[in-house]
Amino acid sequence: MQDTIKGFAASLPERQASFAERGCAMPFTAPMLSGARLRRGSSGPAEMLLPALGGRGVYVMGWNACLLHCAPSLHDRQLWDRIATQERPTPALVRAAAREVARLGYAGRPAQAAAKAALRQQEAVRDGLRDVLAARFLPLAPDAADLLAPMVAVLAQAGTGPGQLSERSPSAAIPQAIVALEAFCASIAAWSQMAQTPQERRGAAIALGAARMTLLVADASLQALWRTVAELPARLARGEVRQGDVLPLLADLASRADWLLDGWTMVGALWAAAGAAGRGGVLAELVSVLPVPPLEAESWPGPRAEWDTLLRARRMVAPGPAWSCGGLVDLAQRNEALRALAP
Amino acid sequence: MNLLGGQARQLRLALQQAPDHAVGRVVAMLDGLADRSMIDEVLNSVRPRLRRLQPPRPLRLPRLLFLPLEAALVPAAGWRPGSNLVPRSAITPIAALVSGALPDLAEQVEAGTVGHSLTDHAVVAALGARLWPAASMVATPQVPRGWVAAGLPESAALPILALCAAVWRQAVPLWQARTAASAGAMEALALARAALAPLVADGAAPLSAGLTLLLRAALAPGQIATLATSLSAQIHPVAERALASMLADDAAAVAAATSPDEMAQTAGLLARRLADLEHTANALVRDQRQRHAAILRRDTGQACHARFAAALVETLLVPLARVAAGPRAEDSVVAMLEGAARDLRRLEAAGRRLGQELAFDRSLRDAVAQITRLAATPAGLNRIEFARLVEILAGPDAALALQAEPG
Repeated sequence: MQDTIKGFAASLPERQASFAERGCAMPFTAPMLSGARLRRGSSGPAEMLLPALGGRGVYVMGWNACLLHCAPSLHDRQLWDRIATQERPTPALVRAAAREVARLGYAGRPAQAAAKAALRQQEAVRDGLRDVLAARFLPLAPDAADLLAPMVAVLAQAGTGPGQLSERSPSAAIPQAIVALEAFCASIAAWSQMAQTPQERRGAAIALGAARMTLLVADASLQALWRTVAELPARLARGEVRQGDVLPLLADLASRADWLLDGWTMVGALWAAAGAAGRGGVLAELVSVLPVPPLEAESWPGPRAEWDTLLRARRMVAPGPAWSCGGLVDLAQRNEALRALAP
Repeated sequence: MNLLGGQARQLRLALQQAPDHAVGRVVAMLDGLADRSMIDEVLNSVRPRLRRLQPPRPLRLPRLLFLPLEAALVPAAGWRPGSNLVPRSAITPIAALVSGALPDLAEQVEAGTVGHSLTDHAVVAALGARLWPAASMVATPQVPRGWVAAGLPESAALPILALCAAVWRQAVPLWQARTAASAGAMEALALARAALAPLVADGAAPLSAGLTLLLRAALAPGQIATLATSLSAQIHPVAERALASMLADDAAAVAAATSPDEMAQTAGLLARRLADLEHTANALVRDQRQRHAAILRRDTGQACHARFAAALVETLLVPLARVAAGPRAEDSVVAMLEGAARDLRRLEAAGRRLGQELAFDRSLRDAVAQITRLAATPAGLNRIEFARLVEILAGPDAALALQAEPG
């Protein structure tokens, strides 16, 4: 990996072939790392992908170049250290590492408190899952007892469906992200009705279009997982599914919604943190970091989406990163506030 | 409300002596009065502070009407006939003239302004787009009612109304250009050209008023001054005077800043404008501008560093030493320390752009060394929290060095 900026728009297509190539959204706090993704190929070290300055295309950088050009914060260096060494970085791994770094206090006290609360909630989800899965699987497929603990680990981010945990039980990360994305859609749709300029209306339409298209496929993926979990005990009992196939099947389904939603939590937090007065200002930044699913998602369940049309519209807006307007101290503070809002 | 001379003097004195937060409140109260005949005179004494503080000022028809003429308005006491400027005492009679000639529109605009302030930019632009072009049509040669009672000579009515009409005709593009210029938008120069070019035919006074309006708001005034000079060579001295006056106001605002954050904002604006003016200077004005810029940089840079050094001790190092020695600090205390560090960092960044880099380096080095010593025996804060303070103040590399220290 070279230590200088390696490539611009021409070197990377706007839509990558796979989620692994698109990389995981990294909730860094340094302003110049806004919208960054991390990926790791089959060989070689991890790479950073950054929205290009002109608003079109992506920079590919090694970490040393990043240290040189982007002033990563202490928080970002800790997060990088935890993810870059992973053989196959995933959104779930990034979420866990980001919570751990925030728990240690690297993003400030509010983010630390939010991370601790999120970790407690995650533990509660796991406890609830253990009970639900045992009640469902053991009566029909007592041989599946050994599968329960790894199934809890696989399903900890996705849960097993609405109403299957008690009403007071906390929601898992992925259903939470879907609810947050629905709220984002409603909020930006209402805001666009009152937007002052054509540019604002265009930006809002692009963000709303991307969010709605993502919502449909992410929800379809999650429903497919929950359906599979619901049917599994009977299918295991009938011998239609082998025990050895259960975990890979669930892991594949559970990861789909996570990959599709990867990056949207930060987009929603950015929008929510801006408040009514700052939304016009934050829209350009938001459009520049919209997560665009790779071609791999085309073959997944759910309605087909017009991503190419949306990307053409985004090219017309061509927003640059927020830090190009200065105010690095304020942006770093805001990014830390986002860690508290979306731990 | 009618203020007698003694009351006006007392109010003026009270405003001059009042702290910033009180000035904002008093001005809001005065703005709410229907009769402004004496108020403008009282406010003249604190206008430089108002420009700096920018308290929310309610939107009213007369204020909206004269926004595009802001740069041509002067206190009545300082106005002289033939000066190509508009005395503030002319606002009331001219606004009454426009309201009388356009009663329906005036009523709609008045209704539209209710509950809004000058900071509601979209409302200002939308109402202005209706009011200004219409006002330009009715500002015909005449002596408005109440003109003489306002202490103005009849002979001044025609040139002042002609100036108003010319600026109002171009007010919509002028306001768009002003908005873009104040945001440093890429399209600012094209909008400024579209706004100023038609004013050339109207003569020096409207062009001067329009140009000064844009210069005072612009983040890059040098580009706009160059553009104006290319449109009309005669405007060059006006542009240079307006630029010099704007820089003097900016430097005064830096010196008068009452907090590190405010000083950072004012110094950042001055640094940006100075860089633009030096970048856009032609051979004719380069030496003069560079000399002026060097003096301003030296004086304001020194002021920024002096404030930085004092605030560093007062708002960060002293409280930090106290917190470090105490029990585990509350969240609010940590937030206060981090807020102080951020204010200092903003001031340092803005001050550096004006000069004094070595002085800032020295102060930062000393501060980091002091925080590192405190972090060696952490009590009220843990090492990560000390490192975060250093990171906010001096960057992540300095914070890494602290973390690497044994402790």
